[in-house]
Amino acid sequence: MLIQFIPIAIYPLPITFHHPHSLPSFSVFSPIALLLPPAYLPRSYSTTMKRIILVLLFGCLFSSCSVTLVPEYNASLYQKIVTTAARNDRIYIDLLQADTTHRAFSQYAKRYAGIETSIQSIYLQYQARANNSAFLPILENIQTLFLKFKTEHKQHTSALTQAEIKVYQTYTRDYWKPLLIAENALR
Amino acid sequence: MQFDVNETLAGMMGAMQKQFSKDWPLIKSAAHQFLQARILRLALLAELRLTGQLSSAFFAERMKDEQLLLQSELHAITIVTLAAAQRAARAALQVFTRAVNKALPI
Repeated sequence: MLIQFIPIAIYPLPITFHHPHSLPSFSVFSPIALLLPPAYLPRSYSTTMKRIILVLLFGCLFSSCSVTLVPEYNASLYQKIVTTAARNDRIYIDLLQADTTHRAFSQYAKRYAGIETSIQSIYLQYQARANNSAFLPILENIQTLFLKFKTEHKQHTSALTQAEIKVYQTYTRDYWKPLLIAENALR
Repeated sequence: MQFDVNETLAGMMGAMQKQFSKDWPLIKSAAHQFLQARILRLALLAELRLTGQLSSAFFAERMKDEQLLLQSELHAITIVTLAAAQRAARAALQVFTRAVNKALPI
């Protein structure tokens, strides 16, 4: 059985740190505590706190516990994200190169549909993963912005201008970036 | 061999600090990349708006999109930080397991 063990690193309550000499004491949340100079650390946990931690650790150890806060890195999913982001970017590269008579939505509709399918497929894969709560809003934002840009292209009465395409391209690159960075951090 | 709680906890804290200091540049780099991208994006948007190449409606829509981008970036930083916390916690557990195994009479 996999128990989610929350260790000292993400202990949810503020911990008070006392400096052994003259520096003032203060309270912080524990992830930040790990970055503090060691001089602040020795008196931070009481004996009771130590006992609680040890009981939890023993419990974990004998129930095959593993600390799982984020999903495992998935190389094929990462590759799929890279490919879909590249296909999305390619639409705007092609639009920038096309003259104004070749920028109608109808000429790009199939490619938009293909990318939309890929985004939906990536979203489903993330939904099926454990510890996905921070990933899903990123994917929802990708979907929202992709569909918004697609609709704007579709409803545009005249051809898209160079300036508009450049802005769409920049925003497209930037709405994929958080997902790529987040997935890459799982390696 | 005797199991020393204080020594084990100190070892665990040390392992966590070491792992966190290794991961800290990753967190900083992610935040830096998002900030840089935002600066470039807003500069482009301002330039195109000021030269009359973008309509006010288009500009206003992109300003709304900025909120979604910021939300995604903050979630990504959370994930990078959680991944670092996970690695730190696993490093601490490793120290603990080693200490217990060492203390066990064979």
